[in-house]
Amino acid sequence: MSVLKYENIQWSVPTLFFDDSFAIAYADVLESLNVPNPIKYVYGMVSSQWSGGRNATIKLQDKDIIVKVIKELTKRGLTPAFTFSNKIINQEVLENEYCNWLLDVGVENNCQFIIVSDKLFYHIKSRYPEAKCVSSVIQPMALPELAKDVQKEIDFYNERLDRYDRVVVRPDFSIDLLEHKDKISDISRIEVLVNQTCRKNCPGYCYSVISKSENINSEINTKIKCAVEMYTREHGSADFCRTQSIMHTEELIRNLMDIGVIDFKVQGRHYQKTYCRQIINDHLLKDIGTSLLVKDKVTDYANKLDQTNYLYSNNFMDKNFVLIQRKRNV
Amino acid sequence: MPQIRYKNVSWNLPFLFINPELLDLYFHVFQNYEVENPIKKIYGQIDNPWSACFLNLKYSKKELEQYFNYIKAKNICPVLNFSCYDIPNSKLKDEICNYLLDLIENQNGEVILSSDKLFKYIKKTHPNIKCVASEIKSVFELKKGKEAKYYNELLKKFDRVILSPSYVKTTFLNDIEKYNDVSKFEVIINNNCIIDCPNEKNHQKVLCELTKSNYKKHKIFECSKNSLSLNKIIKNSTLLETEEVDNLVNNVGIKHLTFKEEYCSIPLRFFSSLIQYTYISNGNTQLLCRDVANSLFSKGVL
Repeated sequence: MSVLKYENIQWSVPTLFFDDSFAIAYADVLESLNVPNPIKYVYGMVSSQWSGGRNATIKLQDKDIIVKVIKELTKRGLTPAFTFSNKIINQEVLENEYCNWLLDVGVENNCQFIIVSDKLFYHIKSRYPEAKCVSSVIQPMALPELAKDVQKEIDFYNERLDRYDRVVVRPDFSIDLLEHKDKISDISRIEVLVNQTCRKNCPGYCYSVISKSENINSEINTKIKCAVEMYTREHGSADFCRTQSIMHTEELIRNLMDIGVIDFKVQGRHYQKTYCRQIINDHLLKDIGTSLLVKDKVTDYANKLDQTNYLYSNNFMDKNFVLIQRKRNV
Repeated sequence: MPQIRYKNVSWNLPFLFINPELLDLYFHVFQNYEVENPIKKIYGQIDNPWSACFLNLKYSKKELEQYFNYIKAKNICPVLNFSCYDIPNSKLKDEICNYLLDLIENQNGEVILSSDKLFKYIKKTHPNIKCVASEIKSVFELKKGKEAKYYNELLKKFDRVILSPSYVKTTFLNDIEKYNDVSKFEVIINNNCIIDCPNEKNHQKVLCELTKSNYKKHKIFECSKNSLSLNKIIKNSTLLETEEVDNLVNNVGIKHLTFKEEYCSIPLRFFSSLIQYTYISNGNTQLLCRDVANSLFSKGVL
């Protein structure tokens, strides 16, 4: 009996340069059990001028370590996906030497690039036409008008599918995806984010911030008005679940699988590492039964890798990991 | 909204005597999300001569009284685990144990027992207390192939009977027709042991011994799983899979489920697992877990 919650899903998980030990543990433990690894992509990025999305936990820029991590992951069949999701890219930023070095290393090791900015997309394609690019979830999230017009949103994704290798859709769009599946040009290249904790059609205050790079410890980060918090404060958690939640149920995920979606994504690198591991485990492995043994084994294995400095030495950790000063709620 | 996984099932959860803050936290999450609270009974134990444990958890009489008042206010049934199999006559009069019986009787609580001697004693001194046969009893008494006869005898004496996890995992379903009433059976759904573990009896003996002396003097028992590969442990595990629990509840008629106290020391792991067992997997259960994690984080225990 399989311990996997879903067969034939390719998961994208937020462990790159955040909790690489956990991704390695998954690969090694499942291989020892002769169970196919449900993790296909590991996403994230070190801090850089091209980086966006959630806060990077690795600050800088030890090239040897970055290459080592990428090689440890790729040799286990995992594909690193760099979150180059800074929305605001100018010519000077495009030419940034360190970012272009990251691109070189990424392409060399068959990594993928999750992108928001068209400028960056065309820059990458001009340097490496074969580079695999993913349209970030931030692209549709940053265009609130899409939520008001289904056809417009479908056109948006089809246009992205023409250019990108994979396209992450707004989590709110999943239900529409079931209804309009035939209008999507290639559903097998659509990726669905299953655990977005936002409210329905969130006005996206935070996405306007997190799509900008280098926001670690910035003042602005502490001033984000979260639409979920505001709603929950006024109406309560129960009402939020009933009317506003876009968390994907198991049934919705299975329905999406039935129409041909194979790439699914969980978020969580803005949480505590322990809780992020829990989220990944709970989405990838069955809730009940012997899967519990696998969850424990993977977690123990990852902890051992951390304790033995398998990827990073203590010295490296001290120097390079950012201490997030603000209270980092899970 | 998170939906309860098994309606009409009485869950017995390991919250008795653990940090009241954790139980409060669990109740708080239910209230916040307006979901049905699956907790009907909570079980547990403290260090005493009638329990097979080495918790190093001791309460004074006054503390016990306060604690039971706290449980009473929550309107849940306390179930005391007095599952030491070998209890000397001299220990039957133990003051704290008898005081615990008084408290349990006052609250219509229950006791989980292995020892027939203790069963007779309690029936004589506190006849109103409901008695549940522990799965540990079967470790010492059950003979392979004679399960139905054995459990039918226990059903005559006890108010409820906790089945051997190995039996549930292997041949219980073949014996269903031999039982008139399976509704008095209780099934442990997350027993993290292997089927017919050869060390089980020794393990329980050691636990009983520990209650009689200072546990620090004893070497902690080496678990037989330690020498097995994960693959072998999975193949021989007594953990029940979703389909097995679904069948036991929906088709066989099991009404009582026990969630074992694994991972109590890792609160997030414990709560997450508990929520997954008690609720149908649903995106919103992650929100429940997130609130629990936030609370644990703010208490500094994550």
